[in-house]
Amino acid sequence: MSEHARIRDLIGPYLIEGLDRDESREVEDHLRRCVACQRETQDLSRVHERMSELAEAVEAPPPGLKSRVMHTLPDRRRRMLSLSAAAVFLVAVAIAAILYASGVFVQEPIASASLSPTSHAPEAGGEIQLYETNSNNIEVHIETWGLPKCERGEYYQVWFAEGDERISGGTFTIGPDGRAEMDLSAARLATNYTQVGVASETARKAPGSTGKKVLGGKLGSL
Amino acid sequence: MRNVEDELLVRRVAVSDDAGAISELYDRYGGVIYGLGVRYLGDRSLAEDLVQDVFLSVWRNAASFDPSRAAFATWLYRITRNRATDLVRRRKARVQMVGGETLLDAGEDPVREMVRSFDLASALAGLSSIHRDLLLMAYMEGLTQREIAHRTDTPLGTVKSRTTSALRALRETMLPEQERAGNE
Repeated sequence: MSEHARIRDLIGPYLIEGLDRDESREVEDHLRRCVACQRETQDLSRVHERMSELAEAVEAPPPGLKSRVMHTLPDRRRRMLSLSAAAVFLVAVAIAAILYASGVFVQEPIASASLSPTSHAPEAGGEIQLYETNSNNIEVHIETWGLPKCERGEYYQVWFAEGDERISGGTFTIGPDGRAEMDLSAARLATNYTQVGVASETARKAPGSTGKKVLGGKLGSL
Repeated sequence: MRNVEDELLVRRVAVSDDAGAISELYDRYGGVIYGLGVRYLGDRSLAEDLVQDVFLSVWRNAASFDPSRAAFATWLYRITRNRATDLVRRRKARVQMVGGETLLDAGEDPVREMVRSFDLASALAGLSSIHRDLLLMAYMEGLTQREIAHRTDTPLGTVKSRTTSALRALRETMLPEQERAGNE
């Protein structure tokens, strides 16, 4: 291996101060003469600085946190136990049908979106999930935070949109802590739209007009 | 699993509730989120809640992630910032001042620093396991070249040349971002 190639391979440990004094001196002597290696060193020193910054930013979470996080993730599916006897299976199916009709089973959303703030409410955020129902409507579960307080006659409205078309997903106001979490009802037609947003509205305007958009997102199907 | 891109892992979470995929994402980004939480929220308990809230949000909204609109690291950063803002409001916590500004009214530099951390974590995840492990040992654990050689049962000369090739590989992964930075 040529001296140039050998020194070039040492640039990395040189930057992280991983060479002994003699090796460091060798690298520095070479860098004084070799423009290509000077450029390589400048390039890699930028990477080295970024890694050093990241090392300062990262902190290992406490050991039990991962387990706690994994256990709080909701199980989106309920699995039927496999049954060997046909009669027991049929009874179980009948019971399941009754329970499903009563809403005991947790339903999984058919679509969801994380809502990002616009410049009208830069500190806001939210999440929205759509659920199937047995009717012609769908259930809209929305959680928001950081929205500005509603003045007299003002409220927020959920909109589903695609191009110039939009339909309403319901209206709400926020609590004194700036948060809102509720279930609204929207026409099943809303599932045809991919964009979702929240706009601040005023009761004095005609219902079809739209106020300032404060949150927006794109619905993804589950 | 280690060489699978972030986007594929999110897709696995969205399509098949893959707990292994979310576990891998935690291993890649949990430390960044926790560290930023400690730094900007000023409270370890809040930082733990932040990590939990972020991964719960990833679990719930994996299907809404669109790689054509934003890189995963950018999407994760936005979720983290959203959730951090919400935590502060919910707990009415005192937010640690960073350079005279809080997270809530952070100017461009602290926000850019947070984004850069997520971008670099994403770039690291794209390296081979040999390169990534070596850089993590050198920078996160602060091991010397000799200590890395001993731990990995690798000749010292090989560790030195691999350190250089790992930094080069990371440079290539970061290149589009650097070009963007140069165009700003």
